[in-house]
Amino acid sequence: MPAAPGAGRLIAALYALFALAATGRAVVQIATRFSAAPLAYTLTAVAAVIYLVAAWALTRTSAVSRRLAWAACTIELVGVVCVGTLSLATPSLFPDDTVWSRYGSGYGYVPLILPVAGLVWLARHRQAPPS
Amino acid sequence: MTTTWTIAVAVAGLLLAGVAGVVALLRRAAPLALLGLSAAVEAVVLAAVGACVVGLLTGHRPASTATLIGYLIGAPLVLPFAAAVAVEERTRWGTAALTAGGVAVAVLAARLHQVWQPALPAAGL
Repeated sequence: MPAAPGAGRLIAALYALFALAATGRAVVQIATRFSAAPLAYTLTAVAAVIYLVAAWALTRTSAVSRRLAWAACTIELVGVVCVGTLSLATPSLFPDDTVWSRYGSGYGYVPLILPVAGLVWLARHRQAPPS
Repeated sequence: MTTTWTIAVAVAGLLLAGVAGVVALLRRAAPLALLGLSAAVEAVVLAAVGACVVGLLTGHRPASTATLIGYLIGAPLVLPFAAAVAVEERTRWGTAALTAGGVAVAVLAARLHQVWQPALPAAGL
């Protein structure tokens, strides 16, 4: 059964919310204390860009935007799994938290759930609806 | 922000999340009354943000002013965006966006309460 087209809008809206959160966090961290944890703060900025791309691409239906949405969700899933594992295995790498630390536990694990939901939706909703 | 405002915003956000959640489970698009409730909750958010701005202008010094200002800018943006999604996406998924917006507002209230606290004198920062 194909997923409802509207579910993609909800996923995109949640990505937009996290884009706002990560952008705000990255701007404040990089502007006020970048040297304290450069890796963590750079990753937050990278996450913010990926969230923005995902939020935009999930609301579009062109072939290019679908590829972008696939890429953004995949990169985010890889990012949250890698950073989540690293933050538990080598906490000294991350003196301050990122959105992806400990699999996004500081954000209710939404950073882990969102890319999975996005990928599932993209896989089920292959046919671009008529615009 | 102060405890009173935190509770007011959190309760308002969770109320919106609960009502929108029920409507979404009923598979309905957001009715006008729900958008009205969102507007009322946004009014509470704006009042709380205003109280924080007044507090800052009259000498309150949080541990990190930059972080607080970031939250004060971000918090009022959430519900208008969620409402725009609910208006444009006339299905239960648009209604679910309002649920997420209500939860986000409650979470932001809790974070605003944390970042509102002044720096500990002993920390030296």
